[in-house]
Amino acid sequence: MIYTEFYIILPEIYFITIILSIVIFGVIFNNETKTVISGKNNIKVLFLSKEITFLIILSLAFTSVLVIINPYSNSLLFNNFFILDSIASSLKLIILLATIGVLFIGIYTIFVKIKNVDYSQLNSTSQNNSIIKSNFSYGLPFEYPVLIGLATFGLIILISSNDFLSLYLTIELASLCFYILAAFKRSSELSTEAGLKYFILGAFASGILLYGISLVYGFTGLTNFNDLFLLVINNNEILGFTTLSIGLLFILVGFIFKLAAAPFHIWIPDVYEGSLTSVTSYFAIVPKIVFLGVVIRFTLGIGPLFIEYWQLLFLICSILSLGIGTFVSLYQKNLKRFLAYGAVTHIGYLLMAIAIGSSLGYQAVFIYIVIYIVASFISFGVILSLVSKKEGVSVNLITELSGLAKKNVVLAITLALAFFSIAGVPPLAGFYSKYYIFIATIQGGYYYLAIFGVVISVIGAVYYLRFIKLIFFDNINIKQNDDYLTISKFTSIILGLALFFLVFFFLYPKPFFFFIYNIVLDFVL
Amino acid sequence: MITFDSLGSLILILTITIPLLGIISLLFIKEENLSLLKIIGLNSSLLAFITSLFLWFLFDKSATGFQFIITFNHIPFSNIEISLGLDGISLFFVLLTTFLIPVCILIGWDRVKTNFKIYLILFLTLEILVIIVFSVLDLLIFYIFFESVLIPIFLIIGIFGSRERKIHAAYQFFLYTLIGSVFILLAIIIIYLQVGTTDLSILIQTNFTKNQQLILWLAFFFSFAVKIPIIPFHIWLPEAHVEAPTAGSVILAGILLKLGGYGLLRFSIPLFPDATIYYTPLVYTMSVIAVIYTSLTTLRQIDLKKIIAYSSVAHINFVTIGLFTLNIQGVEGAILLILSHGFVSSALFLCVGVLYDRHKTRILEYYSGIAYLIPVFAIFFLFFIIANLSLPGTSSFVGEFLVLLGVCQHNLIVTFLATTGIILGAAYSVWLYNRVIFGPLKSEQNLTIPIYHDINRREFIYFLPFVFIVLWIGIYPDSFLNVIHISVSSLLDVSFK
Repeated sequence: MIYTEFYIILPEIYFITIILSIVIFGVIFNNETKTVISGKNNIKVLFLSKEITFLIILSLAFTSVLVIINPYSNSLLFNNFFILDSIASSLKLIILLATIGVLFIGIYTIFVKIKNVDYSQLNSTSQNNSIIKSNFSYGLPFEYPVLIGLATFGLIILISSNDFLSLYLTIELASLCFYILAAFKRSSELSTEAGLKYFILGAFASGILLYGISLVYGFTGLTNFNDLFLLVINNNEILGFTTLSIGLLFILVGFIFKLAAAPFHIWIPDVYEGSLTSVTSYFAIVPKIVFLGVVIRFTLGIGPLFIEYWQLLFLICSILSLGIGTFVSLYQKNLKRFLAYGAVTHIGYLLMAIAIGSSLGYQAVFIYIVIYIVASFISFGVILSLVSKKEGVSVNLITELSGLAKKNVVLAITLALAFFSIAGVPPLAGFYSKYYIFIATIQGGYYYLAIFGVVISVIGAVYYLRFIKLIFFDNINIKQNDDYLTISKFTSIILGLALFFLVFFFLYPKPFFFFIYNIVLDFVL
Repeated sequence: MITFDSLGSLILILTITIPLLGIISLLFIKEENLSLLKIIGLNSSLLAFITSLFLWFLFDKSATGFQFIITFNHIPFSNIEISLGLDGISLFFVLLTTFLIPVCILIGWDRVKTNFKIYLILFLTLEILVIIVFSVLDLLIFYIFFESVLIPIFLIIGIFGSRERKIHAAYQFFLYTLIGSVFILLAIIIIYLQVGTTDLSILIQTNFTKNQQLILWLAFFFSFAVKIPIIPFHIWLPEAHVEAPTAGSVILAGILLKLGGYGLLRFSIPLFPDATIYYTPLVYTMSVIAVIYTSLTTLRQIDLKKIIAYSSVAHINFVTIGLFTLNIQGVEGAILLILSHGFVSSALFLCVGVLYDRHKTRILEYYSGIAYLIPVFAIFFLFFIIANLSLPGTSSFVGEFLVLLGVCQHNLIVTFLATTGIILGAAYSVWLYNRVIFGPLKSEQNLTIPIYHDINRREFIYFLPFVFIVLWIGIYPDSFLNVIHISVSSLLDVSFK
């Protein structure tokens, strides 16, 4: 019945309603700036951005509650366009919580409470409220959290899509929001360049994806995953036809581009470097989850019978990603480019685990994703909390992190532990994620791949060690007399929780592993 | 969830949780409140030491197998159930650890002015991690904590080291160990996938095929060889020792080098008996080369700490010769030698630390005629040099004698070469002592340092237990040996019938 189907997708309906009403509200009631008068200082801040951010965070929280308490599970909706199974609902939850975290840690870019003001600028005629002359950006307009909300909405529906059409539509919805977000800082040409590059390359990749879909449709007449699965099961020889395999190849290449695996990773460093740091944190954390989920659904849903096709592709891409990601990241001077190449390396590990194709491999993928998200919260959170009073959030070079231990010991230790975890040093949680991937690889019989993987992880550890050396032992700092604002309490909550998880994971990992085990078994069987 | 075996297991958990409580309470105290920091740090480590002494009293010398077992139910559906337990061999390693950490805290008592809180927290963390390494009965958890020891040592060398090359040394140390460790990770995964569990008591009884054993033993060996260290993987050791602070050197020499030997004894030899016998000539060759090479290199060094670092390498390679003899005398001698090395080398580093405190240099050329200036220190230094060269009556003599007795039953050439190593050891030890302590006073010394302080009360207190223990092991080793008899003989019997 149609009514039941709408009940089942209640979280999505709720979320999109809230976002649309916020858009309408914001458009009508937003003035560009408002004046906050406090004492002698007249400060202009952007109106409504703070309130709307909190509204969206709250709505995300409520949506995740709705996802958890959803009494319906394992259903096919809307003429098989949408599917709700264990992987979909758990990934939805992870996406929503990750978005809340991203909005929290980027909170200083959205609005800032200015406490210390440069008084020498204030002696102008105080008839008109004078603007403080500084390079400080007051914050972002309210469209920023709204766009993030829309992108998240697209990603939530993407996870449960069961048909090529809904897949493509939701990918486009999310990608359009991403393109705008990448170019969000209108006054910076770096940001505009990033947005333009992302748009062109992303549109091209979507075009390839669409072409692959159309080839498959033209050949088989089907777009639904379930129907394709039945078709492939019943005729084994169908995969011998070139058209179908080329179509599938194009679709997979489209996915690999969105995931930013080598050799299709060229857009990532420029996009990460050019966008605002909070936008980069969103890109680094959330889309990876979604596209990996899509790849898993695709390979496991349609794919298990033509494993020879995609396994070789994923293996090659993972080896290239690991190699390129590690070796090129050794030469980077810019912090965000370094994190971009680090993301390529992580995708390399994840593709390695997917390529194996065993259920242990999929478990390893999920474990790795969750721990990677937590570690990324910390690394981006610390970067985003170094807000200097004169210039705002602008940690560009790696050497600007140096001497952090003298300025703020707690942040330094947090960042050091997060980097140790990403490097895979026991007993932090990152070791467990790598360990599971290597178990899956060896169980699949790929011994040389495992040796390659461990050698790569050691080489990566070199550079993370250099970070720790910079943080603790170095004294050079280009910005000499910079004062940082105290870290906001939302960021510190996220950092604290993430650090707690990373450090004490090894004491009681049982519930986490149980959760992931259940998800994967539900899906595989 | 957690099951205890007897009263002793409760005490074992206490030994681990007391430093943990110390760390937690230290986190809440401000950096300026130095006296409170000192009280809490020292007391928690001393309490841990006293509780571990109770473990010694409660130990049952006639029981085979592991005692004081605690079991944690970690991840039930993956068959990972962790047990902590001690047998005769691990008991003394745990005691060595809990003994050395209060000494390290006492070293930094007045010397470390800034970052004292981080100093205490790092050492207490190290204590917890190392006690867990020595008492865990599960291969994967052993590996995890074996590698996690890297993080505190890296920070200690980097933050509290004394020279500008310290970053280089810390890097080298970390990376050597990490490269060695990745191969053992793959070996553990292969074992886990074959056997289904990583529990030690089950792994001892599984039979691997000879080819599997050869490869797995080699993978394990890379990691242990870096930690021991065996030539040619030893390059990190002199660098790390020279750059580390005194307490860091004590911990490196006293505890970290033991990790490699313990790993060989507990994991390599019982799990892969055929491979052990196959590779014994390789280990003998490398260890004998190490003994002779390092003893000869020591003669050319000009830095005090490097001399003692190389001598420490020589002694540990003696231990590996002893471990691979696979008879009771050899293995017991090796264990006793490891223990005595833990005390003697740490004490020698303490002596060098005393000298460094007064002079702020470690170059040999500046030292001469110390006996005129600080005679009490000269006596302590003499005692530890004598212990280093294995004079009968000190602990190293007992260890080396038993090791040579064990090797003699297999291979006379190795015995001959190893004994040459002892003679070379005497050469560099006595020569070092002569150059530093005796001889005329150099005129620069009188001009630069106007007032000399002899050993003060704190240093006297931490030197004295070392003297006592070295003499105890040397004169009446049976009190230590009869604890490890049963464990060693059962280890050798089960694997090598």
